[in-house]
Amino acid sequence: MSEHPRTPEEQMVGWIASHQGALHRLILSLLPDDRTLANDVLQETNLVLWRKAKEYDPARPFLAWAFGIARHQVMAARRDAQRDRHVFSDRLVELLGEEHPVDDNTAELENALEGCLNKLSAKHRELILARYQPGASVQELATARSKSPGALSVLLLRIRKLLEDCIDQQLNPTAS
Amino acid sequence: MNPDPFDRLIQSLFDGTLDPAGREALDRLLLESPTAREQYRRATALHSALIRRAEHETPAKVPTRAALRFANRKLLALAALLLLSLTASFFLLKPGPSARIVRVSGTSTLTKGQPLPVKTPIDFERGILELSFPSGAEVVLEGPCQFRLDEAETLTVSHGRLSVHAPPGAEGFRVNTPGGRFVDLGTRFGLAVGSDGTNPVVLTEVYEGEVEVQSSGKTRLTKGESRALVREKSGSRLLKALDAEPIRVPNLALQPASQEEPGRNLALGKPVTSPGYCIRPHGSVFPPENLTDGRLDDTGVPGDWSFWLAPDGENGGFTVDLLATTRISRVSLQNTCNRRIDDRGTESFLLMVSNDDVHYTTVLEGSLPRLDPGAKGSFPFHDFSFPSVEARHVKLVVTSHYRNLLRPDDHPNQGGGLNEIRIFAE
Repeated sequence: MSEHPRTPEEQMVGWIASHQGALHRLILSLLPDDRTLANDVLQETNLVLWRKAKEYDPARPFLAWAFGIARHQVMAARRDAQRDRHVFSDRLVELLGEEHPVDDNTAELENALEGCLNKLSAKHRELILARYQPGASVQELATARSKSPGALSVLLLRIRKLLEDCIDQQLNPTAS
Repeated sequence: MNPDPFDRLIQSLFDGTLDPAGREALDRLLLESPTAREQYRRATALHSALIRRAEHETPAKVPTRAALRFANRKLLALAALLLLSLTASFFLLKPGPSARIVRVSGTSTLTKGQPLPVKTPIDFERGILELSFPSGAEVVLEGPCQFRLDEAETLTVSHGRLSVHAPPGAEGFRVNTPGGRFVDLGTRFGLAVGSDGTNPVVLTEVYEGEVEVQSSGKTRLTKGESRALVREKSGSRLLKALDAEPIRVPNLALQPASQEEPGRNLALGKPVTSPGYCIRPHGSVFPPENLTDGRLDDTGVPGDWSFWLAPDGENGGFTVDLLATTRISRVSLQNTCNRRIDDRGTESFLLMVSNDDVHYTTVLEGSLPRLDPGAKGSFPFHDFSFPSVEARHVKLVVTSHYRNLLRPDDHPNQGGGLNEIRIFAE
């Protein structure tokens, strides 16, 4: 069998794969209250990107093009879901979508996150990781720890701020 | 430390504890303030990274796909598989009751008794899969199909044909499709989930009992009713007829598994070309590749039917490229009557062969009987033998076609068509 030339589809798979983090971040920021829906929309976006591989002009920036499609998929998903389920207004989703920076620093951020998770106290680290376990709910975590969900939410917020600050320092070491 | 109120709103948003007043406040703050939006983006960046990290640590099974026959389908499968592997970690193996596979036929990718992972897209290219749910609901799916188990009694089907039976106790079983949701209110019904190329098109027919269709609104359908759910930019529409034809979805639960003669059919999966083929609205396209796809029951889903149809009013024809000069002496043809609408199909034909796709020799003149659209199960194959010959290109030219006898003889919806061609050495 001879080697196949690289087709637009094969190239597209590579691009899609290398920007999963950035696409997930954009989609989640527009659908912040539904982790499952955000994942579904990401999958659909991947598929649409792949299908449109031939239409994509590699001279254009990939992310700008992909973000446009992702935003379109988000809008479609919002139309499908019950309107009252949406936490954000259409206007806000459009604004956030348009403003979203077209860059991808997810690899650096994920690296920094590992370091910052290690700097947390064991208790904090365990809690934040438990919070993000698939299927975990703040309600259940609170019950298991004999805390009110509100109190646990405040604690999670503190951990989140610790991580955000730590990541900022790692990503911008010179900034004061 | 007293965290600022805006940060608390974001945290409640992430934690799913935001009340309606909080939602409004957050929405307003974000609309008003670019700084707030910047702070929100920073928080979501971390939120997203933590979610992805957690899900990458949870291994999920990636379904394997059978080797596919068409070059383009192969590529699609390859890409789908790659995407699945890359993003497998998004689909979680959740504990709890789920569906079991109780019957498999004609597909090698899935096995009977195999536990089906939740939230994982599962593809199979051909054959029949029967699932049983804890409530007693039974679902029969036909490949090519892509589906996913969601909660215990919910199935998401993005492409493919299925029939659902919800016995007493299993009412409320739900099937989500890209067009809308179908809730079984204790019944038997069929679905065909496809696309018109851009928008989802879902066909449904209720065989027994009652089904609720939830899309733009809620509609209840009862025994004998059928609809096409067409999603468009302006919203979803429920049509009683598609392209002027009544909507029928054959009940898969009644159909025996299609039978094949593996390894001997030289045409299976080979490229087919035709000067033209029938294209109708809402995903009703009938390209010649359908002739060698191994799907035998004269049906399918919008955008992916199992048969070839000539353009409106034409007898038409097609050419199979065996890709190499091959000794052949028999063809086996399965006619179509266009989804039991009984308005198209091949009556008589010429079979020609060639090595250069320029000079053709006629090896056979033949005719096919009119199909009985009410017949149960797959339509029959008819064999035609001819003196053994070496050929690469096999051309079938339809010389007369069947039309719907209840319509005027100049009705545009008529023409040649065929569901499948098999070619054999002997």
